[in-house]
Order: sequence, then C-alpha cells, then structure tokens
Amino acid sequence: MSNFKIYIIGFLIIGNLAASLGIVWVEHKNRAQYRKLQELTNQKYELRNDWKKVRIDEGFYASHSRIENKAQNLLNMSLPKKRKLITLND
Amino acid sequence: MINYIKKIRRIDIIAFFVLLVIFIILLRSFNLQYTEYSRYSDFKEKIEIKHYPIKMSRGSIVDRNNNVLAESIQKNSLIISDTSSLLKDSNNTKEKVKKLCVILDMDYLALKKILKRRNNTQYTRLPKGRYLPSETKEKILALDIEGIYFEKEFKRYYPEGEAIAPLIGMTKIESVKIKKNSGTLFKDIISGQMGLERSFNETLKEEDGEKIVMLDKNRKIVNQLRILTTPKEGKKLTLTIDKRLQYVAYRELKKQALKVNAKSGSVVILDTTNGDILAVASYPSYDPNNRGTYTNAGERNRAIIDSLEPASTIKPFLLTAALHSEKVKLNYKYNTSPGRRKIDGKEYTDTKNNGILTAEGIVVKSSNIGSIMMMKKFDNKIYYDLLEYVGIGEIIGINFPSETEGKLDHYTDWRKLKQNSHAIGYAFKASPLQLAKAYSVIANEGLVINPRIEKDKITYKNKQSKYKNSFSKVKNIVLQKVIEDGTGKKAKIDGYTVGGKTGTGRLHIKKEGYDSKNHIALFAGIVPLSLPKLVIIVVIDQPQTKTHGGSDIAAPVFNKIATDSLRILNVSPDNISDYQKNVLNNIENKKNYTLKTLEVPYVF
Repeated sequence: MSNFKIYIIGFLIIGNLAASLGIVWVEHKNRAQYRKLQELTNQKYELRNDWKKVRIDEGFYASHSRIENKAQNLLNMSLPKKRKLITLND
Repeated sequence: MINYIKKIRRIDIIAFFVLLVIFIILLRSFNLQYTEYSRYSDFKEKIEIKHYPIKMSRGSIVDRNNNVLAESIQKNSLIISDTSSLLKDSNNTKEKVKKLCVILDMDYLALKKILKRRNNTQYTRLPKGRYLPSETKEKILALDIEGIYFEKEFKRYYPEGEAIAPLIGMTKIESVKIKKNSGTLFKDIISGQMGLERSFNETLKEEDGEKIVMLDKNRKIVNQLRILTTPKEGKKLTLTIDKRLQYVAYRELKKQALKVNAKSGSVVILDTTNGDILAVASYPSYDPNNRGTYTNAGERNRAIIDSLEPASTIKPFLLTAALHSEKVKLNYKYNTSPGRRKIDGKEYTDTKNNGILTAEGIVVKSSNIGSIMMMKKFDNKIYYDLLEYVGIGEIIGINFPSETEGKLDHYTDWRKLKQNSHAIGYAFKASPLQLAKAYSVIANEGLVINPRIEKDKITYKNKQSKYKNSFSKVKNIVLQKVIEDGTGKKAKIDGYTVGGKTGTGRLHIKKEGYDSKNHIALFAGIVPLSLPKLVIIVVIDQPQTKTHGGSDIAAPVFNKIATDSLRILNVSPDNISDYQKNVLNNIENKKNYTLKTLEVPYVF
C-alpha cells in the first residue's frame, strides 16, 4: 500500500470522525439555540401582553368618567359657569 | 530503545491516535448502551413528541384616537395532566395540594372529588384554575407539584364597559369537534357573539397554529421538529367612535332615562364633515366584563337595529320637498285654527291653536294640520324622492348585525290617510342612525355622506345636489328659528348657533294601533349651524312623566351632550356676539376687557 493511499484513508477516517462529532455539536447547538429562541419568543409575548395590560390600565386611569368623578368629588372642581367664561381675541 | 523509537514512522503515530480515538468512541458507546442504560432510557421515556398548539390572540378594537375598546390579555390556565400523582397518599403531596387549594381559593375535599372523578385522564381543568395572573402561576410552580402544567388562554376585556357594550358586543367560547387520525378532539374557539365583535369576526379572529415538538418531563419544549399550521394573529379594528363622546352620550342618556323612568333610549353623534359615527349610545345596557349583568334588552342596540316613526322630526324634509316643488314658498300662509281639524275623515290636532302660520312657521311651531295642508300642495313623488335621497328606507350598511333598513312605501301606495301620515312623520320608519344621516344631508345643504364606523373605510359622498337651494333655506332660516322661537328652546347652547327639530311620536303597538299614553320623545340637532360639525339624535322611549314631548324630554339631553362634545372636540364658538354681551354684562370692570370680534378661536 503506497503512502499516498494510507494518507487518504487516514484523512477519510479523521474526516468521518470530525463530521460525526460536528453533527453532534451542531445538533446540541441547534437545541440550545432553539431553547433560547423559545425563551425570547415567550419574552416577546410576555412583553406584548404587559403592553396590552398597560394600555388597558391607561384607558381606565385616563377614562373620562374617572377623571370627572375624581375632579368633582376629590378636588371639588366643577365646570365654570357659562357666564364666567371669557372669550379673548389674540 | 532509542533506535526503536527512531524507527517508528510518522504514519504509525497517526494510526495510533486514530485507533485511540476509535477506541474511546467505542468505549463511550459501550458506556451509554450498557452501564448507563437505565438512566438514559428513563430520560428518553420522559421526552415526549407532541402536537403543540401555537396560540394567538384575537385582534383588538380601538377608537379613533387609538384608545382600547376591546383587548385580549393572555392568562394562564392550570391543567392537570396526571390526576393520580396528585392523589398520592404521601404527606408531602397532600401538603402541596392543600397549599394549591389555598392559592386557588378552593376546598380541598372538592378538589379531591374532581380528581377522583377524572382519574386516569390526561387533561383536567379546574373552574378556579382558569385565567390566572402570572403571580399566581409563579406561586403554584414554586410548590413543584408533579402532574400539572399551565396553558395559555386569552381573556377579552372591555375597558369602556356598559357605555359602549351594545355597539361592541361580546365574544363567546365554542367547543368545536375536530377529527384527527388519532381520534376526535375538542378545541375551544373564540368568536363574536353579538355587536361589532360578531360582524367583524373575520377581521378580528385569530388562527392558532400547530407544531410538532419534543417536550421534556417539565413539559418544556426541547426541540421543534416541524410546523404543521402557521399561526395568524387577529387584525386590529379601528373605529370612528370617540370614546370621550361615547361616554358623554351614554352618561346623559342614562341620567335622563332614569330621571323620566323611560323604557329605553338611544343617542347617535355623527360628524357631518366625513360621515364618521362618533358615538352610538343605547340604554339599557350591560357590562360585558361581567356576564351576569347581560340581558336581552341590554344587548339590543336601539340606535341601529330599531326603527321608529320619526314624527315631527321629519317636517324639515317635508318643507324642503315643498320648496323644491316650487309650489310653496317660505312666506306662504296657512290657516291652522282652531288647532283641531278633520281632514279626509280623520281628526288631526296641534298642541295649541297656532292660527295663521307661514310655511316656515309650520316647522317652527311643529303644526300637524299645517304640514298636511302643505303636503296637499305638491306631488307625493317629490316628497318620496327626497326621503329616498336622504336614505330613509335604505340600509346604511355599516356592517352591524341585524341593522334595520327602516320602511318606506312607494308613493303610488300612499292613499289619502297614508299621505297625511307621511306629512307628519308616520306610516314610515327610520332608525336613529338613518335619521342622523338624513340630518347630515341638511347640514351639508343637500350633499349625502354615508355614515361609517370603520375609520379606514372610504365612504360614499356625492358632489352636487339638486336640492341644494331648498336644503340651504331650511337649514339656515328654519331650523335655527325652531331653537330660537319654536319648540326646541331647551336645546339652545350659549356661544354656538344650533339648528334642530323636536319630535313626539305615539307608540305603535301591533294590532292595537297607536297608544295615546305612551310616547317617544325625539330631538335631532345640528351644531354649530354656521359651519356644521355634529349631528346629534336623541331618542327617549316611553318616558313616564306628565310632559312627554321631545322639547321637554329629549332637547335638554341634546343640550348637555352637544355642550360637552363641542368642548371635547375644541370646536370654536360661532355665535360669540350674543355670548360676549352676556359676559360683558356680568363683568364689573369692563375697561379691562376688549371683547370685539367674532374672529376668536380660543375659549378659556
């Protein structure tokens, strides 16, 4: 068997081993990345959900009825009577 | 020895290392297959390949300013996948399950009963385990109970509650049977049950996806193998509604309905410049966040699906048709005395003896006798064509379930009595929304703009009108006088010109005819009249008070709604001269103020 053939066989065996180990490594990497993706996707939905909750809270706290109620009952505010309103030019 | 080492070729060294690596791999394989077999086979058994749902949320509904009217929030539902592990006799398990009961506010024995009944099933839901907030989920997970997991579910919230419930509607959860190779499955599908949730279901609805995944013992996804169905999130629906005006309309409607003990009522606010429906309030209502408050009466959106006889609110259209026929002029006179007259065999009455009235005065004083006399001066076809032109008897098509088209018989079917009825707003029907559209035609001096509820929808608008002159006269001369000198005095707003018409209809009961005791009070108004912005229709059904007319019951509601709406929308006053005089009279030191012209854009 010539040296050249031995080199080729050796190279193929090493290549084969490297490819097998590579597949295992890539598969592991893939799963790790997928887990990461899952976590980030969940985080995205959680954040979106929080955003929706905040918007509903905003709607509640800024609602006309609530502000009107607080202004009248808590701060004793009322709309100025029409005769007290002054319209200015400039 | 040294010689021997010298004799070793490099190729032999490489071969040695290759063989060593192969040996190591074989050794590891042996180790995995035999020595650690039981450990890895247990691990493998706990990994499950499963069809896994990808849940999406239903689209949100927002108002014209992007304020939320309906939104789906993700919650967690507790699922018991292995009932037997919760029924274990060990003290540790019992302790954990008892703690779970405390968190869920459940009775331990009741939970045990459910678990025993559902023994050997892989999917058990608890009534109190639905829609749990994240904090509760974390608390339960901290207990580390075997055989439970959490599933995502969406709950629909309606922050505006009863103020807008009859318009938005509600959703329902349906259990749908799905046949699969592995057997029949039940799947919960959320769909619109009523209101806009129902009619825009196709836009709002989500499509859940499905994927094949590998799950570990904690039901965490380890790997995704394939996506079977791609998920689709529901689209956002933007309405023309302004939630501030909606609240004001509902608040005033409810206040008045409770005050006069009315059976029901509705309010429509329409933007005359583009046909946007700014508010549609209906009373009674219900809270869509609390299904216990739901009633059939509360669900009914009276402004869109109920049609009623418009009574005297139709008289401005009669006058427009009369002016268009050129057989009647505003100053033509009619003798309506003594306020009670038999015409074509039937007696018609006015609220009082108005004596001799001009054509204009007939509308201002809302004379039934005068209206019938005026109607007889011109062809029925002209009046019919005009009613059809403004949209009476024709569905608006805003895409609302059971939207009414009203009722308008062809003029060839109008016999004498029917002709008389048409003159005073009976024998045909329109919904409050159709009436709002009709009044927006007056506001735009003959131009028709079809109302819309979807903000992005392009709406029909015509550019020319053959009725322009007639509508212009009615709008600018007659409707303002109704407010200044006629039946609509209570609708007057300081600082703004208002045009409108009151109406008092008798309730028509099937087979029994008209009820002389029960009435419908109406008011239709345009504000500001010089540069119209809003058309507001107020309907109060069957007020139980001595005075039941539109002028006493509906006009004050219009006044309050219009005042607040104009302030909210920052509409500049168009009638400052009168207003300023009043202000000046109330100011002691007049020299400090320079109140001169109408060109004042701001009110402080």
